[in-house]
Amino acid sequence: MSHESIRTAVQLILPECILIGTVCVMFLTGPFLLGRNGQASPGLRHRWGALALLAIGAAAWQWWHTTPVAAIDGPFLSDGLSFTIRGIVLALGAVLVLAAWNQLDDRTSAECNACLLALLAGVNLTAAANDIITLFLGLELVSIPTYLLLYLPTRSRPAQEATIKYFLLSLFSSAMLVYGLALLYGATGTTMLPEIVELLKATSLTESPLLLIAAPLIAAGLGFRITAVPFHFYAPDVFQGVPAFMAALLSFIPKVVGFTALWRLTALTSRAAAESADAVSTYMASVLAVLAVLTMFIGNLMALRQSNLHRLLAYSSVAHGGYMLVGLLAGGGSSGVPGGAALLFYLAAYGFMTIGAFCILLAARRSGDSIRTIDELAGLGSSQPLAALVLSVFLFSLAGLPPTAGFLGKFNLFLAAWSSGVSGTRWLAVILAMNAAISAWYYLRLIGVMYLQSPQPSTADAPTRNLPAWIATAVCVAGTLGLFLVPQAVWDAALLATQ
Amino acid sequence: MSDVGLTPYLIVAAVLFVCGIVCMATKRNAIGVLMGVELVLNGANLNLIAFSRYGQLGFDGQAIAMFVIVLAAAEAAVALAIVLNFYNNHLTVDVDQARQLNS
Repeated sequence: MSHESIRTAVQLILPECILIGTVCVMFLTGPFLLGRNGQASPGLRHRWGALALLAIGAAAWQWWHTTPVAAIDGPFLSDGLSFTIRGIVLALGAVLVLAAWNQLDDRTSAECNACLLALLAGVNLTAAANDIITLFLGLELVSIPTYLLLYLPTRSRPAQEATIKYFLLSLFSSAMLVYGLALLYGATGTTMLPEIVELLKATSLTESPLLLIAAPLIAAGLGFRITAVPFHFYAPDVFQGVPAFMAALLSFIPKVVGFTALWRLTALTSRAAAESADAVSTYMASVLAVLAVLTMFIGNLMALRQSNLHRLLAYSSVAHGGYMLVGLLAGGGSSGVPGGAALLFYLAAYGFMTIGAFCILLAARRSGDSIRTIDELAGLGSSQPLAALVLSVFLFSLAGLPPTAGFLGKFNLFLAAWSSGVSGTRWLAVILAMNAAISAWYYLRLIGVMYLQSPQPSTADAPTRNLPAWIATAVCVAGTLGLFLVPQAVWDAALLATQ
Repeated sequence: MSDVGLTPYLIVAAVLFVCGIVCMATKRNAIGVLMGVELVLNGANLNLIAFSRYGQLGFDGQAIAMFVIVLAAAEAAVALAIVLNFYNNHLTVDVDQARQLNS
């Protein structure tokens, strides 16, 4: 690799270079700002949070000045997909920094903010990957900071239990993914993703037994990240044990990387139809279709019987993973709404609504922890009208009701699946609609609890408002309503990615 | 020295993979589970290098294997921190003791 080609490669990932540079500064200077006994001066977290926001701002500025170009030969590419994913991830990354702000303590805030930035860079690198190696490294650059973020902020028993569960299962899935990618490399003989995708469409299963083993391993490795059933079972336990900002992060970031990697590896979203009925890509599509149906039904049915809000939102996140899989599967069609664009639009909408829901649960309490059980929601409509109204907006959006982004997102997914012309996706569209109806029950029940039940005797709360969490909530409300009222810009970007 | 070809390497790698999966599924000790992960990763490495050697595919496989080795080291470092923390809270590294979070 010549000096020139390294420079071209770096040019393509400048936003990530800014993020990683800031991460290095934070990791290296963080320990020196602590006192001799390991104590930090109060308020240190504000400075680290501000620095993280500044870095995201600089990366976003750099991102805005890139122009998507068609695929090239090299480890990275900067096409429509990576442009759109970068935009979504940087915007919601800033929201996550705000949500985490007051849940971090001053001692570990440098490391936690650094991990958050590293993880955002990892998502963007996954989106910019043009090669198995960069794809895999991007995925791991998301996983490893996630482990650190799980165990650094709180040392409590439930948080540690959630950490070890997530950690062991995530390692397990990464190991399966590596093994699957190794077999994929052996079967196709190249590490470049565009060539692999071509071969997957042209090769039939009987020709290559290695691919027959590789496909389920890759589906399992990535299925863990998008919480597809049967790889979802860690989600409720982990969400219950971790602080609210981590639950928000885990419901969104792994989904983005998982779907981006599936997009790159399976090319289900490209318009050209598969060559033959027994091509490997068709086989992967049918595996994923089964996962999608299971994921939607099990996620929604299990959510019906939850009384803990974090667990409920965990199952809701499982169900939404299923909806997005429908979008991915509808992408191969030759007519109608492009499924890939519907998927990306839904990812943006889902990010705003799920992160917003966790943010308002956090902001409504002044004690620093979030509202965790349904009983605590009772009477929120009279005790905190603003928080109840905002949470209702997010719940409406999650249920897929207008006037919110969730409605438009689900409608697009439904249209894409109905009109794609691929056999079987019409059934997926019908199942999606059924599941949207089931899910409305448990979301609307929460609104009923907030407005119709009498409030509990209020507990003594700390006198300060969690201002950063409120700002994050405000951004999410703006996103959720904005994507319904003026969706055109995001939809255009999503369409650009499918070309 | 006679060359054995690609297949024996793939078989050894598959055996490592299966051992690793069984180890992860049956061990209750957190460190034991981590050893299972290492077995799977090394099975994958063996595959990568064998493909690279016998498939005339250049050095891509070796390059990926190097990255996987470095990643395994990074994960082991994080793993020790997490397991130590778990031990401080639970006074054991038996993952079955992690069952407080339930509906």
